Amino acid sequence: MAIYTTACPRNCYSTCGLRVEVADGRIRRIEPHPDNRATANGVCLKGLSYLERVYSPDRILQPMRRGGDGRFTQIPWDDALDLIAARLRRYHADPGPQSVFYYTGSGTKGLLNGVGMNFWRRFGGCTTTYGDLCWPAGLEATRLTLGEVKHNAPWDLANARLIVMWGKNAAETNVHQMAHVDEALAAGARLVVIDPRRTETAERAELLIQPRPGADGALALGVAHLLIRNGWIDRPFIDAHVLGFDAFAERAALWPPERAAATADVPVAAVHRLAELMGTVRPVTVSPGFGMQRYTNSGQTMRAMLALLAITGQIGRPGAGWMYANLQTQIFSPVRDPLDFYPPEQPDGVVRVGVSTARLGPDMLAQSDPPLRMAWVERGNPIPQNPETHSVLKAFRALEFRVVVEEFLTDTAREADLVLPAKTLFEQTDVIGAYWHPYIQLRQKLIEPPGEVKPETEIYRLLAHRLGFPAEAIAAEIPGPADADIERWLAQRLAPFPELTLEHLREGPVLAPGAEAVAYADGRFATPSGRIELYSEEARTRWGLDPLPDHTEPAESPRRAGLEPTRYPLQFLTPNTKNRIHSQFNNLNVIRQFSDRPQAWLSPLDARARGVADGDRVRIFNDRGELRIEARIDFSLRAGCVVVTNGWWLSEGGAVNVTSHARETDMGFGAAFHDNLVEVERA
Amino acid sequence: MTEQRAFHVDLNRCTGCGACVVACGNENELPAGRAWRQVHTFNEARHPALPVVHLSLACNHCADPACLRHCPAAAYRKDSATGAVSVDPDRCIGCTYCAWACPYDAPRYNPEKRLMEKCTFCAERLDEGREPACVACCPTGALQLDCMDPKGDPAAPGFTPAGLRPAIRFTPLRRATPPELTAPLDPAAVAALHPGALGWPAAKITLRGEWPLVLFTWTAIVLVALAAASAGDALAVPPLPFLAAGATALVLSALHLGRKARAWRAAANWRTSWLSREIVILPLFLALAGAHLLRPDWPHLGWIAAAAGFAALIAIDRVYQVAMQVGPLNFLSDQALLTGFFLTGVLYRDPWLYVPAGALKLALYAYRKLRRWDGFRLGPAAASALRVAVGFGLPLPGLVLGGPAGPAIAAAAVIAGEFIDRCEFYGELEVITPRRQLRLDLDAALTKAENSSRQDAKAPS
Repeated sequence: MAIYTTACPRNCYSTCGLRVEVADGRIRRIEPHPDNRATANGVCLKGLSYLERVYSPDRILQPMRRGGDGRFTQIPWDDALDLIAARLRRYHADPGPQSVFYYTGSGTKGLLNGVGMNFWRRFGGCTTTYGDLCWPAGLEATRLTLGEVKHNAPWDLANARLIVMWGKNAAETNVHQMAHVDEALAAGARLVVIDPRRTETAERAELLIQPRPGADGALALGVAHLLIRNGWIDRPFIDAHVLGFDAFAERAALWPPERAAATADVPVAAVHRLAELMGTVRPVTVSPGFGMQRYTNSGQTMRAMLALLAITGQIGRPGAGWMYANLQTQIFSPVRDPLDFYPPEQPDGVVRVGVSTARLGPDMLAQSDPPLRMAWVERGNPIPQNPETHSVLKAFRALEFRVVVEEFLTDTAREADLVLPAKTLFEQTDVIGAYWHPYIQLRQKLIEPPGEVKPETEIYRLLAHRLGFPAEAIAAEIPGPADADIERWLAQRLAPFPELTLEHLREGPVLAPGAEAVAYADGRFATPSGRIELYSEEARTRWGLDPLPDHTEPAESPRRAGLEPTRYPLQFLTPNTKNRIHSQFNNLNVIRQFSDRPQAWLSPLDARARGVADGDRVRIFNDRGELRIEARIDFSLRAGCVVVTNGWWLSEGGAVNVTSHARETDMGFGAAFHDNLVEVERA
Repeated sequence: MTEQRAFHVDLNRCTGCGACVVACGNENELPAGRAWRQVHTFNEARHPALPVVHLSLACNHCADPACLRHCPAAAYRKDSATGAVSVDPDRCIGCTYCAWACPYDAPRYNPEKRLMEKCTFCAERLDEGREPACVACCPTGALQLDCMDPKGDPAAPGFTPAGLRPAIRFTPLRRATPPELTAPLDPAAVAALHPGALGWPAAKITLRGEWPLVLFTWTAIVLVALAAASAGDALAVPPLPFLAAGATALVLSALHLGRKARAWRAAANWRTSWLSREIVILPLFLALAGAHLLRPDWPHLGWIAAAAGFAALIAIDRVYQVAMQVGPLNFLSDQALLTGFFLTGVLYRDPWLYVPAGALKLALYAYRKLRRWDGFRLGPAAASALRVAVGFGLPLPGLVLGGPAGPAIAAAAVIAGEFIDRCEFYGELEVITPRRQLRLDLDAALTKAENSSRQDAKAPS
């Protein structure tokens, strides 16, 4: 029995440090790594479920080809690679390399993920995506306001005396944060949660403000109004660090609490209470979630929320700040998110960054000169997970050839002509960062890939040889097959950072060089003005938005003029839970024991109005699609919402994007799939 | 002896994430859904008046464990060093009685091994100085290893204080009230839909699962009454059918065992287990009664046999009272002893015996049905009507009027009525589990919340 340091590479705040026991070439135990201070308490159920995931009988262990009857049959690697090479040669010649669409999701973190693009560049190019499904509006709002996207160390939350969990259900999506929340509460801190749902996180709060989804910006502006009116602001801080305060104050003056409360559909008293808490309790940390910034108005919403911390001076201090995303571990690339996933200002003519992730289906179909012929999908499951499932499906079906690299037969893999087996986190060494804590971690290879599984780097290397890429180019751009080759490649990437060596990382997580425990403590803001920009000229020039934060109704809002108000009156909320990372883990028995079928949660008011009782089957629908699932009553849910958690597969009738629309957020090229009005009726 | 270790659950920190359940399954190589630790949730439907609380429970390694005391096969032991309560797979007969006796649902039946299994406290890990797997993996630090609080009385929603001195402590909620919600609530819609959204947890004991025990206990009662009737010469009982029925009953009693070949072990724990005592006394009764029927001339043997029979019925009753967490004086309407007296009275045609016994049974039956009443449902109502008509109504003419066939018809009717009652009793029998206790606690908390809001409404503003 040997114990190794490794880390969980999922798209998750926690990015846990792990200690894994291996015996006889098999993973035996998964436990927390004590040196990752943010996650030292334990491992979540998904991390523990790797014991099933790695050894699941459903795992894809060899290349599989789909026949005419839709069934998959195993084929040898040589045949699979020959098939791909032949197709690639054909499309390279006609209509050109950019007819190959390279799609990657957020399924697995790691520096080696970059090898794929090396391959496609050497191939002669491809078409790829810009934007991101997850968090761009919030990233861009943060970047526009603060200049960088970073925050205090996770454990610093224990120093907060007021915590506002704004649209974040940490108890399910960042469970380790709850230990820090509890430390703060034990020391007398106050907790307010803002969420239409009474989440597990809200259970610890004294107050749960339940605004109308998409109207958080109005609530923030109403709070700003009161903070300014009551003098609950930090004048010296504003004078030293804030740009545009006077203009913002004029804007906030337009949002008296009555208007804010009416717009957000909360009691006026709630606006007053939040303002009083934010104005009088110090220090304040606002921990906003990602779901709230997936509306068409949400970049501006996030800027309005950020302004509350700016005018009260709650930036750059222990226990204070904006705990949205912490990109201090993005040290390996010259450009950090969100700029990293924007389309290049000057296209290089090789890679066509032409498809918006948010509009994946329509944009794929719209590509011309050349049109798309083939797709290569890895680390992602776009058919159920990108907005507007029907058009994504249509776009994939319109292609001639589809390759999907996967661990399991997901909804996207089922559509593939060729499925290539994917490694798990224990089968190739890589280096990963995080977006909540400041640790760089080694994701170590602990077992040999089972069956005929090959890591993606090796698939690319073999294909590169088949396609006759120059040997020296292959050697330079794609690591070799041996473990030592991979480590050499990683060591090169680590070379600029003396504190980051493989030896060091094998011992445990290492703080990213230069990581700040208290972000912005130096009072330096990398904005054009060097100040916190409440007034952002870039918001206008880059996004065509009001330079000041404001609240406008989302494109799909029950209150927006021009929408027939009675046709689709319910807002479809599709939050993530503890049980899945998007659609990952959904197929595992360990997860199914807690959550075995998709369910639609309704408020008692909406259920009663529709004659729906707990357990009835209902139809959730709009013009774009429908779900037919079991209804449940959530007795604390705000009326006007229906909730189905994210991550169910299309093949089991629970994929939530069947009703969403392919549309971008107001900034950052995010996906506004939470602009999603539906109706519910008994099925 | 070192100080007994205890689990410590901080109710403020537990988010119900389930990592402890998965860690337990991983550590013990259990299939999903069969981990020895489970998380139970209070107020899952999120009634606005009550908080949501999670209860992570495995075995509490009680200082006075019910499983150990009531296991008929003496398969349980308690480690003096760690306090861990464990079940010996070589001794367990798979009778599942420990699962009835434990209010925390700790012992689990393994259908592949046909044995009981349970949380071991991760004894091997404790020996190595490591925490149990569930504790080591709890991502919020809610579940910890602590020392037993000798005076403490652990309290949490869903946790039954059964006097077993469980090795568990709870940090109570810092704020016992739910968050203040701002969404406008519609109390009428909540009131209309909430009861329908609750439901009861699946029953641990079902008629379908326990039918051999129905037949076994019913046969035992009838045989005891026949033996008692025979002792006073009220009835001539043919020995061979009697012994054949007795043997059948004994076989039936072993049918539900996971390990039938080890049935003999059920007598091993007669010192503390009523189930074990039942298994010892009943064959003794059958032997004595059989001897009496074969040699009716031996003096007093009939009465000695009848006394043993009634003792066996007491043991049967105690087996169920223990499972239901009630004392010996908590009469059940289908109390085997009472039924034995009733039938004996009928066989003797002695109103001084059958009238009080029957009346008491009828009253207890009515009480049991009224307490369970939750609206008219045809199936149960028909069963009740049949049970009363056959078991109490049909015997009356025969008993009052007599006649040549009267007494025989009356006795047969009572026996048939008792069979229906026994079936009903098994259908209704439910032992305390954390899920059931959670539901009971929820009902109590809702009633309390409604009363206080009513008082608030009445209070002058």
